Amino acid sequence: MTDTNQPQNDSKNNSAKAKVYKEGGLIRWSAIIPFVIVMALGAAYFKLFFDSHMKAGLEWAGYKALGTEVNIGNFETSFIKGNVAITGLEITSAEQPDFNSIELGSIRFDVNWDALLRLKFVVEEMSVENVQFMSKRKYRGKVAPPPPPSEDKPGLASQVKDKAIGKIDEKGKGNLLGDLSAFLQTGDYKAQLANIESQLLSKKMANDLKAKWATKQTDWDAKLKALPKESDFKSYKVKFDGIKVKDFKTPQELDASVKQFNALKSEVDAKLKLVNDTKNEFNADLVQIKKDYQGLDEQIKADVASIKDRLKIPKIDSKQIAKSIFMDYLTPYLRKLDKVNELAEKYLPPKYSKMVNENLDSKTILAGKKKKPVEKAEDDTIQPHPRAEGVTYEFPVKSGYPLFWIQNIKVSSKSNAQVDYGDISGVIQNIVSNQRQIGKQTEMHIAGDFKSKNIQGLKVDAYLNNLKDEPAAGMDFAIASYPLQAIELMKNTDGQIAMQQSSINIAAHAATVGFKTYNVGLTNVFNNVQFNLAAKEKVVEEILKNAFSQLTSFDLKAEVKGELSSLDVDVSSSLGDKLQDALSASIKLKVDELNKEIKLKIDNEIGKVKGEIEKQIGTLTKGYLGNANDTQAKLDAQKNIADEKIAAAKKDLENKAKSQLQDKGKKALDDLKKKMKF
Amino acid sequence: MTILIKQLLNLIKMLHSENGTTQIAWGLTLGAFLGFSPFFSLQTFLVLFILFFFRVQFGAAFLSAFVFKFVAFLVDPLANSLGQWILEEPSLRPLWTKLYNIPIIPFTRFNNSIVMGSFLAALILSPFLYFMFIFMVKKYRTTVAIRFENSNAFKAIKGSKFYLWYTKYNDLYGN
Repeated sequence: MTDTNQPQNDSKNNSAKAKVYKEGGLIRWSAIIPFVIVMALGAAYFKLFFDSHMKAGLEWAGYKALGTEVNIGNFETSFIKGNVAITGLEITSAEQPDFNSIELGSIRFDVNWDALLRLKFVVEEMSVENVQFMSKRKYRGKVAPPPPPSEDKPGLASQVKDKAIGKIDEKGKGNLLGDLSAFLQTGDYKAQLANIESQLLSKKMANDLKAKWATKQTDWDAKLKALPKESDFKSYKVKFDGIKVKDFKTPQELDASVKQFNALKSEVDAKLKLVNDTKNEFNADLVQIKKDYQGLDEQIKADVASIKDRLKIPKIDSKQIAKSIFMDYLTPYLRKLDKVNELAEKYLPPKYSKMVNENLDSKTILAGKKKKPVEKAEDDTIQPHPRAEGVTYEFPVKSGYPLFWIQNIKVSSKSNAQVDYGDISGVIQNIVSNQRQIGKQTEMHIAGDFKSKNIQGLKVDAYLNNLKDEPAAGMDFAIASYPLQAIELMKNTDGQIAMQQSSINIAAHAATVGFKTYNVGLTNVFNNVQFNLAAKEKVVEEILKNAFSQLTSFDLKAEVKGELSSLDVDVSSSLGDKLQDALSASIKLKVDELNKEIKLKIDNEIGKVKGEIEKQIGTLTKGYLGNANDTQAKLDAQKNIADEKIAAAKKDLENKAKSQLQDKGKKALDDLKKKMKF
Repeated sequence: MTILIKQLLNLIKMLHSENGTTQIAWGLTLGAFLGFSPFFSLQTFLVLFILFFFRVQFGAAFLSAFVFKFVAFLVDPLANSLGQWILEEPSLRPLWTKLYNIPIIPFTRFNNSIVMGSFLAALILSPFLYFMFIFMVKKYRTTVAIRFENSNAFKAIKGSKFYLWYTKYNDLYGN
């Protein structure tokens, strides 16, 4: 045995047992068996519990998202077939929890496996059947309490309402009848007008302005006195005339004259500067006095409006009447828009919800503030050194899908003897995560009737277009005929205007571009109308009855346009026109007389002072500014004369030098001729 | 972490036994695939699947992945060039387009130059690596392992009570 073999033998002897390592077969059964068990448990879960858990999850998520109870009758999925079936989907109405705002009999769809293997969710056709609106629930649905109103974000409804009826009307909202009664009851307005003198803000303002500009006038006089006078101009003329302008014998003589001219010109320039400064001051004062005059005019208008409000003079304007009668009727529609905005802000993809959010942040917009960019917090966590990223090549996609795409949803329902689902048919196309990839916009077209509810000619056409730079969305909604329950348009202690059951035709449209500008319109035509009219004052009741007795049909048009921060609201109605006509006939004379009286009162109180301010404007424009302009023109003329004289003197010397040179040249030539004996 | 340490101990144990050479070599070779791959992609799952279901030495794979991750940093520019060259090859363009449009295949991220280059490098190197690892394991056993086992320090440990207890435990519960 050699030394080198010794360790090998030793190790073989010593660790013979340790070196026998269990090698086993090729497959690692100890891993596969637990894996199969886990998979089997997973499959069992999906078979037995997944559907019920999904159902509960969707009901919970639906309640959280919509704020009203959502119920699902049955939820079934098949992973092998790739299909989903939901039956009995009910969404509770927030306003009437005993009813569903919508109930869908069944929703069925197959998932596209080819897309699923690319981790894309694509549904080629989804069918939604047995649609019902306002169906009775088995039990009262749960409705989440409304969130507290945000001070920062006034809702669309409140913004529009504020805009439409204004703050003055808001105080006595729906009090057209009260104003009318009060106006007709009150007899002697002259006595009331006599006492308002002390309350006229415009009178105080006019007196203040008068005093302010009277003081100013003293300043103007002083400034005008400091300007050059006729004697100054004469003295300049004498000085200019005294300076030699011709027959210069030497250039030194000319130089002395030019210096004298320049010295005199500097003096004129200094005066000219004084005139210009004074003129600028006069101009600034003129701008200010005109501004003050405008302010006074506005204050007078505000005073007149305040007097009319105090005397409760009804506004005989059909649009104003329509607004005060119908704003309560329109508010629920606007609240729905608020709800849509809220949902859009919460659930639209971040890109769009940000747009909605930015536009809704009206407080910031109104204050003219720009949002500060959110500074990113510095990331001080330890980052692993990244591997190089390489180049990722994009090959032509021949069978690609967007991340999420429901190509077609067929909506249909047909009434039968047992249940009135309504006869509805329609399609919703291309609900997609990326419209540009498929080059199509999302569209919805639904039409139908609900005979048992007497709703006929329902039509909804909507779109969402994200193919261009700015997303656009719009909807047209129409109902040919819809029974309207009795409603109270106006009711207070002074009387009421109510309508008994009628039929209504609705046409509405809504559109937005970039979630910045909105255009929402509603046209309602009320047919077969019968009014319930009552008023505390007989005269008022008579006016109302005369206006409405023959009226069986009228329309209501509402239009909200523009950006959220500056919405333009327009409400008009033929009912307003009718009432305007009736009021014009009955009270116009009295209103006109009173308006005349108010004008007279204002003219008496403020007219004189206003006239004085006007006179001051005239004096400043024609008198003071005119004087300054004249002085400036005269000084300019003096300056021009000086310039002309300097030029003439220079020319004279130049001519003289030239003739002297010519004479000398001629003499030299003659001498030369003589020498040459020519 | 415990599993990782256990797997590394198993590797040491296996290195010091007389069999399991191919298991170690396969583990080290597949580990090279994991180490070369820059992102988590489908082929990473495939390698993990093989490691999990076939009797390949886990510890060797993890150790190899760790080492080859550093190697990959150095060869990334080369892998990038190789990947770019093969992905830009006009004659192969129809093949890549077809693969790009087949479901699941895009999850391999083959269209990334580094993924493609690293994968090709690992694929080309794998037979050589496999035989090299077999040779290295055998060489280790005949030289380093024996010298280590005959060292006084190892003999001292082996003679201790603790080692006896460990051997007993390993006989009962070890792999």
